[in-house]
This record gives sequence, C-alpha cells and structure tokens, in this order.
Amino acid sequence: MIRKMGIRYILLNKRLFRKYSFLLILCLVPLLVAGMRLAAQEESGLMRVALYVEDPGEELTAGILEKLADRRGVLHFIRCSSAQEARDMVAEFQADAAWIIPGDLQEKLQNVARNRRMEGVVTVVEREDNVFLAFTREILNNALYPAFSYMVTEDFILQEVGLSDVPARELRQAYEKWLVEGSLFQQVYLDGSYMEEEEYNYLQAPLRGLLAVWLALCGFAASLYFMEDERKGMFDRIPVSRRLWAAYGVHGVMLLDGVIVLLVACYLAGVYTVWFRELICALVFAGCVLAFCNLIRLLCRIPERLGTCIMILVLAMLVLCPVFVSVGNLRLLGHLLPPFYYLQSIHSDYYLWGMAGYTGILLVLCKALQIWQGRRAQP
Amino acid sequence: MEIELTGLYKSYKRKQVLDKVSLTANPGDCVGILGGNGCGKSTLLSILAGVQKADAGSFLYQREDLLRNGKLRSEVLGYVPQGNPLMEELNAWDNLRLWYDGGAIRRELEGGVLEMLGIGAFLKTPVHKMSGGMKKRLSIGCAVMANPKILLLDEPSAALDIICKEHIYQYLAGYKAQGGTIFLATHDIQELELCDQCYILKEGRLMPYSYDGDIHRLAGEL
Amino acid sequence: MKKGYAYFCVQMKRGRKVLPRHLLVNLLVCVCMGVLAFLFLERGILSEGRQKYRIGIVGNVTDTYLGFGISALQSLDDSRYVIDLVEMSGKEAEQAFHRGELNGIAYVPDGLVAAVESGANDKPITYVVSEGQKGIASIVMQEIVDVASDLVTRSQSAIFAMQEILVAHDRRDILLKATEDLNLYLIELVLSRSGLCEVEELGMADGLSVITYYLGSILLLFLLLCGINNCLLFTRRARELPGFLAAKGIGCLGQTMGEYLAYVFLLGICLLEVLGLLALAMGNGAFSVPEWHYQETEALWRFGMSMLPVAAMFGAMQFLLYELVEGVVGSMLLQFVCGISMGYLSGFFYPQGFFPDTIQHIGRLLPTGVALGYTHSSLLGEFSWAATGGVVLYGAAFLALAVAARSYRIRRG
Repeated sequence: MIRKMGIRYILLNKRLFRKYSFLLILCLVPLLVAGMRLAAQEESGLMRVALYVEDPGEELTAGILEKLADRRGVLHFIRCSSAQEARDMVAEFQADAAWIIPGDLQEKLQNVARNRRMEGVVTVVEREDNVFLAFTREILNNALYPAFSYMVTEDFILQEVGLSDVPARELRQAYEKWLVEGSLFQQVYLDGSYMEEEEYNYLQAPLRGLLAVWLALCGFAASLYFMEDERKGMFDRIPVSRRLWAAYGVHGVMLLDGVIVLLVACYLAGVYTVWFRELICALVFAGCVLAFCNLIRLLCRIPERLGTCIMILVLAMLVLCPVFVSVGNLRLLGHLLPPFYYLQSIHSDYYLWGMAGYTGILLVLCKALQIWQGRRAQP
Repeated sequence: MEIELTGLYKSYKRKQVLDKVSLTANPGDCVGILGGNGCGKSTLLSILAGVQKADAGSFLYQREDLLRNGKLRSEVLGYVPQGNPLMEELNAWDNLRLWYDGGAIRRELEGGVLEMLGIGAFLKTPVHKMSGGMKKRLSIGCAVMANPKILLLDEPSAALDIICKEHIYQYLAGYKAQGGTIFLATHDIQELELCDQCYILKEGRLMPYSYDGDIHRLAGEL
Repeated sequence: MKKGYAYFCVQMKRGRKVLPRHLLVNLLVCVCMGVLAFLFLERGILSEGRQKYRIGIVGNVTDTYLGFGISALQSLDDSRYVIDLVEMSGKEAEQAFHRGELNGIAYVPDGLVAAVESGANDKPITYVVSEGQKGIASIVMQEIVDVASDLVTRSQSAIFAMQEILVAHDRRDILLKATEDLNLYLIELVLSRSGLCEVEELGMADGLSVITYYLGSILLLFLLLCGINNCLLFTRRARELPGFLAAKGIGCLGQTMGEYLAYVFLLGICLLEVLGLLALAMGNGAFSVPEWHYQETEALWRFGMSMLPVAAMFGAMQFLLYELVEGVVGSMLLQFVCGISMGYLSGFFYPQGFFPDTIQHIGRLLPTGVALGYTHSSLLGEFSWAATGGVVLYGAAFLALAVAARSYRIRRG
C-alpha cells in the first residue's frame, strides 16, 4: 500500500514536472523573493522625507543627522540643496514631508529651554496631516530631544537651582554617565520569542503572506488539473466513493512540491525562523489548503466556475489575511481562509491548533458534500 | 451466469436519452450497440461503467447490481471510453504503472495481453507523441490488465489504421474465447462481425437487430 | 482582408455566445471586489485610522508613578487621540488579542519602577502587537516605543545628573524639591514636544487621495485578472484549427487580430459593466472621489472611456499568455503570478514610494506601472503623452508577439 502510494507520488510528480508552465512558476517564485530580498537592502523607507540642513557642519545638527541615520529603513531621507527644493518635492509628491533644519538650531533650542515656552525650531512641510506623518514628526522630535533635554537640564541647574559655577564638562559628564543603553521596551511574540531576532525589513514582511497565497493558488491549480483529468475519464476505474481520496492524492503531490518551494522561498526571503516550526506549520497549512480547495472544487463542480471562484478567493486572501496589513475588523472573515491561520501560526500555537481544527472541519464537509452529491445523482 | 440490463432510464434536460433500455448477455458474448451520432451509445456505456448515474434501472452480474455496488463494479468491469484517459506527459509504461504493479506489467508484456496489443513497441514513448492507434491500444491495455469479466468499449477502432484494427480485433476475439463479455458501441461494419448480438439504439429505445451483411438495410434502420 | 473580416465576425459570434455568462461572472467578481474594497478601506484601514489603538496593560500598575504616567498619557498627551490603554489580566488580554479587540499587549514586570528609578533598566516592558510575524505595523510600533523609551531614559538621565551635581556641590537641602520640579518640567516638555515642529500644510493640490489611488489600482487589478474570467473564449480550442485556417487563407495576422479584437470588445463591455456598477455605487453614496469635485457621473464616464486603451493593452497581454502556454490551467496560473507580482512591484498594493529606487524604476517600466501612471493621469482628468505612448507601445508589442507565437504554432503543426 505504502509502496503503491510512493510509486503514484513519483509518477504524478513526474507528470507535474512536465507541465512546463507549472515548472516555470515553481522556479520563478524563489527567484522573485530572492530578488526582493536583494532589493530590500537598498535605501528605502515607509515615508520619504526631503531634508534640508542649512548648516550641516554645525555640531548639534551633525548629531541630529547621525541619530536620524539610525532610522534608515523606516524613513528614506532625500537631501536637498535648498528649502524651496524640499518644499517643491512635497508639493510634487516626490516626498511625503520636508524637514527644514535651520542653521541656528542650537540657539533656538536654547531659547526654548531658557524661556520655558515651546516654539517651533524645525519647519515641517506636509501636504495633509495623517497618522503616518505624525509618526515621522515623533522621530524628528526624538532626534531633537537628547540635545534639548540636556539644554533643559543645564539651564535648570545653572539658573533654577542657582549653581552657575558648575563647569560645562562636569555637567556633560554627569549627564552622559547616567545615559542608558538600549530600549525600555522589547517587542515579543506570543510564544515569548523576540522580534528583534528576525532581521528583515518592511519590504520583506509581506513575502511570507504572498507565498502563502501562492500555495493556495497551487492548490486551486491542482483542483483544475484534477477536474480536467476527471472529465477525460482518468479516474473512471476508481469507484466514486473513493474518488475523494484520489483527489487528495493528486492535490497532495502538487502541494508537497509547493511546500518545499515555500520553505526554500521563506529562507531566501529572509523571513525563515526555526526549521522544525516552519516545517510543521507548512505541512499543516498544506493540509488545510488541500481540504479547502477540494471543498471549493466540490461546490463548483465545473472548471469554469472554479476559475471564477479562484480569482475571488485569491483577492479575498490578499485583503482579509494579514498579507500586507492586518485589519482587525476583518478577522472574522479571515478565519475562513487557510493563509490567515498559517501566517499567525509561526509564533502562535493557538493558530497552529486552530489551523489543524479547521482542516478537520473542511475534510468532514468535503466528505459530507461528496455523499450528498452522490445521493442526489442516484437512481 | 447471465448478465442482465433492465429498465435503464436516463434523461438530459427533458430529453429522454435512454428509455427502458434492457438486454441480456452470457459470458463470452459480444454485444454490439449501433446507432446514429448522438443517439446515446456513449451515455449507455458510461452509465454501465459507473461514470454517470442512471435515473432508474439495474445492471445485474451474478445477481449483483453493479450500478449500486461500486467495489464489485471496479473488479468486474473494464471501460475504454471514446477519448483516451491517459496522462499525456507520461509514457506508456508510466501510465500502466499508475494502476498496476511493475512485475504484472512485465508478465503481460511477455506473452500476455499487453504483448497481444503490441504495446511493447512503444513502451517508452510519451503519450502526446503517440498516434491514435497507439493511444487506443494503451487505453485498452490499461482497462484489461485487471482481467475484467466485462469489457465496455466505446468505438474502439475509430480513426485507426487497418493494422491497428486487426490487432484489436484479434485481441477481442481472444478475450471472448476466454469467456469475457464485451459491450461494444460501434459504427464499424467489421466490428459488427465480431458481435454475437446486435442492438440498435434509436430515440432512446434499444431494439434487437440481426445483421446479415446488408449495409443499406442497416442504414435504413438507423 | 475579406476572409479576415469574416473570421472576426465568427469570433464576435463566439464572444456574443459567452457574453451573458461573462457579464454575470464579472458582476459577481465586481460585487465581491467592491465589498472587499469597502471592507478594507471603510471598515478596515480608514476605520482603524479613525479608531483608537487599544493596548492591554498586564501587570502591577498600582505604583504611583506608573499609574500617573498612564493617566498622563491618557489625558494629557497627544497620543490620547490615538491610543487607549486598558488594564487587564494576562489571560484576558491574550483572549481579547485573539479576538481582535486589542491591537497590542504590554506586560509590565514587577519592580519596573524601582529599576527605572535606580537607573538599572534591566526589567524591560515586553509588548506584543502581532500574532503573526512582524509586518509594517509592528515595525512602526517598534519605532514608536523606541521613541518613548528614549524620552524616558533621557529624562531619567537628566534627573540623575542633576541629583549628582547637587550632591557633589553640597546642595542636598534642595535635592527633593529640585527633583520634583525638574521631573514635572520634563513631563510638561515631553507632553508638549510636538511644539518643537512648526508644521506647514500645503494641501492635496494635484495629488490623489487614498481612495482614488486604490480605486485606480483595483480597477487595474480587475482588468489584469479579467483574463481568468474570460478564459471560456480560450478553452477547448482545437489544436489543428490555426493550421486549418491558414490553409484556408486566413494567416496568423488575420487570425490573431480577429480573435484579439473580439476579445477586446468583450473586455470593453466588461469595463462598461464595471463603470455602471461604480456609477450606481457612487450615486448611492457608497463612496466618492474627492478629485472629481462633485461632477462625479460625468468624470466617471470620461475616466472610463479613457481606460479603454489600458483594457486593450491588458487584453493583448492576456491574449499573448494564452498563446504562449498550452493548457488553460497553466495560462491561468501564469496570469495570476504575473499579474499579482507585476501589480505589487508597480504599486497596486503598497504605494510606489515604499520601494527602493531600483524597484520603483522597474515598477514604472512594467506594463502595470505604465498602466498605473496612465490611470492616475486619467483620474485627474489630465493627458500624459508618455503614459499613453507606453500603453500603446506595450499593446502593440504584445500583439506582435502573439502573432509570432501563432505563426510558430501553425508552422509546428
């Protein structure tokens, strides 16, 4: 029995690899993600900021620019030679915001610290305010704050407290002595692992989701091939009651190849975690896709209908599953789609078990539907 | 033991394709089913093979209704549809290997049914490169290797050359001689000569016909 | 010419036969896409942009300073318009997180305040914002909390430095008051930190709003994937037919143009159907396009007509894929993979600015990028020679390749 299954697996795989379009897609996917990973190493950012610095050589400004350089990967800075150029970039949609840092920034900050009255020291040019631009302003404020907080402290000690004879060097040493390395916060996953251990940026982030949708597409392709074969009479010698197993077999062959490509592509994309976890999640996901695609196949019954459903389902997966963004209000619908579970199961046993449970439900539904369809057709 | 087809009905969209179709046959018989294009011959065979479901009726073999017993049906019946249910990307050996053991295939290639069909000559040829005759012989080989008691053939020699046809007829004659029963949907006069019984399927009804070699009379009946 | 025209008429007849089914299928797809778009934009992204982020706080927050800090954030800081902090137990938080009721969970360790006060900072607050692997939201959150951390540690450093100076200069008598004063001053500064930026808003001017941007992207995606819906025209084609037609005097050019024009006609009707649905949706107030300044019906039809060249270009691309790949399943798969990957690179899903310069250049040069540029101009009621030229060139190139593919098929037999 096992030997027979193995032989059938090899022969069906042999057949699959002779479908050049499928082979092309199988090879194309890892290449595309590898290319994306390479491209992600270039300069890019969620927001583009046109930066004009009146006096780049000034000590404080240089410190701020150094701090902003740490934000590369989140913000993409475009240096401009004039304030007008920076403004024009915003007006012409070449940048999301422009920051104009004046030459007398130190003086302005000191005035604010001395006068205890907040006033704008950096000009920020935007088209229209939104949450993302507010986020960029927080980064700017954060770049200004170290120097600013020092100036406030210095002013407080020298003026408020009255210790005007404290040397600047002593003040500076005391301040820097108490500086703490690292963040007070650490981002983790629900399973306790640290997010900072994963070294990929926002461009690579959706790749796993796209690969998951691609595997679902492979499952649908397997359904179409199976329907074509069924129409040709390929499975006529298999009793109708066992044809569902034949369908699982055909799907399983294609999905197993897909799982191998998925794992390789995840590795090439730079989103790979621990091999054991990846393997388990991918295999359970493949099972879920197998059951899901067979259910849709049984519901559609003809290839043309299935072709239409494929398009709608793939679009739904791209929107309702956390491929690009995770939208909380749409979670309930997302629970119907296999990639939703897979994408969340990498760091969550809750979703891994959920995926396994959903697979079970789908398999039961497939069997029930097959029995019902069989009874409907009986004399 | 008799093979009995009783009261088969099938309709498509208010058109009665099969209307109380009945016949009996004995082991070793070849039953020919003739009819014009689109009369329902293929439908009849596909129902007997279990591919489609009849609206009513029974197909008894050793008093077991094959229409309701899928397991027995898959053991007893061999079905060769009009198209060739083969995997185009694989070769003949692989297509056979999908269903049968390698040892069994090799045995049949040396003095068995596959040798009779001449499949050994194109064993490693991919299906998409085969001629129509080769594909048909391979399809028959896939169907008969399981040694079925009843063979359902839908126009087996359509579009084949004389030599291919001869191969197939020789095989069918041998199959009959060994006690196998054949249901043959055909247009071919030569195939009629193989048949022990002939029926004409017309307007859904199956009528016995005695073929005496007169083609014009046959054409008139159709 | 006469035979070519006759063949075109035959293809139109074929198209007419499958048209009702195509219209129905496209209607279904449009409705689904519309619902998805509505859910995504209105109930999803835009709604979450209007909604507050709910963060569950787990752990002991009874400490005075911590409680004060949380209360200050909730009532005084600008972030109060964006973030809601809710105290709950760990289990409640996880369950609420799974249900989507929380956007994140922050675990406050015991002894946090003491660690901060002593300067040790060895008990970080761990937080969760994502059930799956990190995405844009978690990357942004990481930046935000790093900013918050910096604010705290810098302020902490200022206070400790001040204390050290006072002790070193024998002013312990005012240590407590000075600490309190500086603390409050720093809190005041942190809460009003946005004042350091002087913001100038230019307004949207000639740009596209989010809704309009994605309206264009979704329409293009629909046209791009239309080849899947319209596959009926390409299925069950006899392999020998092209050769037979060539023998009858209808060469590869005649065959290709006859089939392609009929296909584009079908696409055009599908596009009209989509426009009708959009007009209905806009008429019922489901959404509006700010750039059309309340002349929406007129602008919509003008926009729709201007999209015909793009439909023709995508039609040529789909036609080419069906010519190149034998078997409907293979060509459908290829259309999906090509469509989605080109769409991604060209900015259908993320705005183009998200990508590095190289990818932006590549994305703009792809057929989808050219189509997107053309669409953006059309949405603004503008005409772009470059974009139009690109669309026409690509369409012509795809057709030429399709003719070549057909010719090869005929010669091969």
